[in-house]
Amino acid sequence: MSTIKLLSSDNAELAVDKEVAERSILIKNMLEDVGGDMSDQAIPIPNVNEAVLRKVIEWCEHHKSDPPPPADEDSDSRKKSTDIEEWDQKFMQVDQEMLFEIILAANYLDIKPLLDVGCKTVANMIKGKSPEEIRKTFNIQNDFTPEEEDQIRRENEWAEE
Amino acid sequence: MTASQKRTLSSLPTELHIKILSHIPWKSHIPCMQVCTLWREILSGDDLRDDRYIDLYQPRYHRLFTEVGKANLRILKFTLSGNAIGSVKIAPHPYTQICSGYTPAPEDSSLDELELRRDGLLRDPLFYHRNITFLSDEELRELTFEGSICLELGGIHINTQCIDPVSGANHIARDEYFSFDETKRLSDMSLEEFLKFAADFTVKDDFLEDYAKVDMEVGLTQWPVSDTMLFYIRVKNIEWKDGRMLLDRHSVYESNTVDGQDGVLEVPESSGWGASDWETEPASWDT
Repeated sequence: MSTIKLLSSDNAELAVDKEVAERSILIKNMLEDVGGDMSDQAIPIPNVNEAVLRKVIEWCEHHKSDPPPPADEDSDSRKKSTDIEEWDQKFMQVDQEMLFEIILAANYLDIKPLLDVGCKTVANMIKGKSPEEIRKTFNIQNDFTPEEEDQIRRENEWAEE
Repeated sequence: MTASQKRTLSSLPTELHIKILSHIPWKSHIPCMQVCTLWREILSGDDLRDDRYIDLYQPRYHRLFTEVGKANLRILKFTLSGNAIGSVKIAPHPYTQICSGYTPAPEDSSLDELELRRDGLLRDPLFYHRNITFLSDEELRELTFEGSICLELGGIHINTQCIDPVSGANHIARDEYFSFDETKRLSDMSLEEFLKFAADFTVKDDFLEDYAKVDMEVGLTQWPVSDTMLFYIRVKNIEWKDGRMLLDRHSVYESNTVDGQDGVLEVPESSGWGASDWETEPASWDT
């Protein structure tokens, strides 16, 4: 089993099994481009810091023997299920900041199953909430114009209140 | 990314917002469209709007009023005043058992009493003419109850139910069928235009001639088992131009305990049409 080295944005060098690192399509393609031999040189991952990279590697370790995701990317992402397997649920029990960092890293490193798990986790936090609760949960700015908001209030006139 | 910058949902690129929103069930589209303009834009796009339509029928129709096979029905409540539609709210259907044998699944109560925006969901067309996605034989059998449901809609049937101001009985004031062939504008009406269509249809009735304000609710009488969608419109409360009010039977019960309700016509308990059906209205209805 060969090992490669990854260099995080904050200059930490992490040693990873090649098989594990290749869960990332970005790294896999890079290794293929250079002919597979990167044993003496660390691959720079400029968009991901050490803490996030360690977390991502943890996920890849656990899922290293998963079958590859279906090639038909579109049909997969259209699946409405927000079911998440138990291990992944525990893995995603992190603060919001880390959750969004993982989603960004998974997107950048092209690890589709991890990206899906991250997006589903956020989707589950959205489900069943009112607009105001959603804005509060994620600190989202209400950017509707006062006119748009006012339109609702003015027209709110059901007699039974 | 430095440590001082906190990563938030809003800081993610648009493509990731799309990915996240593509995982939420269609019902959550409704509140999500009201969160911010970016989400409204994403959810109004063709791809995600698609999720808000029942695949089975041709033309496909909006899931807002019903979901086939789930028996969960919803209605829209709105006010018509001065020929314009005011606020529109979602509410659970007053019939609790719309089709026997199917108990409603636990509903997402975050939708109840949610005010719908003109710039959001109400822009969705009621019908969506697009080819039916092919389902597996098993799915098709399940959804059509062994093939007993017709999958091609010919039009809609609307009836207006209201309380007769003289006798106080529930009755059907108007009743009409509109086919897609003869009513071209039905095919690409938005939900808001449909409400206007239904309201106009209702106030054509003679006794509503001098209305100033009418509270109405629109829903399905049942989900389509034939080639027609059966809608009912119920006139809840009427305020005439001379200030007289007519509240429906259930509202009258409520108002008996409230001061300052002079001018309310006492509506006798009705043994008229469909009276027993209305007994099934949930107690929470008029709160």
